[in-house]
Amino acid sequence: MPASLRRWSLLAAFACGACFDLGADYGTDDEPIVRGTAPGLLQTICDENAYTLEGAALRRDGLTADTCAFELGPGDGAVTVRVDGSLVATDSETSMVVSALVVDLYAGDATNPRWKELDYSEGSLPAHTEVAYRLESGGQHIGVVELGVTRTTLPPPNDCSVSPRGIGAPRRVGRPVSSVRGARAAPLRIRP
Amino acid sequence: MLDGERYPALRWATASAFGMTLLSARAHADVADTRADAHAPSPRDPATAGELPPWSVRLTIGGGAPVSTVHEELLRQEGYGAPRWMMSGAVERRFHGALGVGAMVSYGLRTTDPDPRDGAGSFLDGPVPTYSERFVLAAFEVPLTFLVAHQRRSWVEASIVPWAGLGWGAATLRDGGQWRSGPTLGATFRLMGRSEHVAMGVALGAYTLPIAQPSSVAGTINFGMFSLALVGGFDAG
Repeated sequence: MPASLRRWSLLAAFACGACFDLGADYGTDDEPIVRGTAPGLLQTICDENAYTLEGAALRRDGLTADTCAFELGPGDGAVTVRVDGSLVATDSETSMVVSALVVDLYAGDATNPRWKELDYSEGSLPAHTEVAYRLESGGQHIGVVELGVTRTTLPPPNDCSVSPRGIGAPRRVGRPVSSVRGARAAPLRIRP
Repeated sequence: MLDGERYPALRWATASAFGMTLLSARAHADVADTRADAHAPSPRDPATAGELPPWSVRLTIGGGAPVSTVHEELLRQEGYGAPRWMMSGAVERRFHGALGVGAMVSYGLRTTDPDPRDGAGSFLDGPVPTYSERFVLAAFEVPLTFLVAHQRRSWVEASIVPWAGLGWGAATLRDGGQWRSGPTLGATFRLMGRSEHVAMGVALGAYTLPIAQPSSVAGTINFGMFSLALVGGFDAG
């Protein structure tokens, strides 16, 4: 084999190998990476005093006596929690969901535990150091036990692949950004 | 109740416990058969539990699925799930035929790390708190013991042991749980292969140990469970 042909063969093999390596950090088949906050985000907010109570709202114990939760109601009560902006920041490849683990409170007993989605966003948004979420009781009597953030990151476009949308075309999932941008500023009402 | 998919350790414990019981019963049966062939039953052989030595010591170790509560469901929603484990010791005395009284103490624990929720494959950076709980209970029990099979010096003993008492428990996510107390009520069914002085078998049980958390929005923590355990001990007196 001539030296020049061998050189080009090695270069092609290296380039192709680089293509295969691109997917290594993202699993197979360009699967999105989904990562969530561990339990304790609400406790971090309590530790940092990053919350404000209004009306019929109290800070209470959470799952254990050494964790915090909030009781909203009966009647109108609200808590505004401030979350680190980097946790909820999104870009063109990242979407984000903020949820709250809530229970109904009737005569002091907790019932119907469930996650309630508070916010969803994707696409590039202006960066903030903190993002505030206001949780209202809406006249009900509820407990907020935990906050959770789930981030989904798409793998970067693979320059070596060809899709029907074209080489390396950016992909979008879910609702368009414009439909949810207002959710961050508006009160987030929790209904049973 | 005993969900083998969620609690693989329980599945292992179940298989082990039943295996040991079968082995124990088979060993007793083999010995009894051999002796039965050689000797007719002696009129002196005990035919009821009341004729066996009156004092019994029973040691139990096992685990089980926590009873269903809102607190337990909240833990599950957070990604926590694990069986409870418990060891017990009891001293019993039969005083009227099959009927006896006894005292029992137990110690239990559960420690579990969370799994990511909502389809997530991993956690974002930051600490991942471990949920752990400890509990102890002390109870009076009223065991009813029957010999359900008997050949010379080997028996299969069945016992129903209702009990009631007081328990203390603490649960923590940050090394700061507070011990609180509450009433406890339960019952255990024991099936054991035994000789005159030694017994071994399995125990199925259920109990409740609700401990109110007055300032919590997450509801009462119930340290109770449906349990499967290995049980052994000796009789004297």
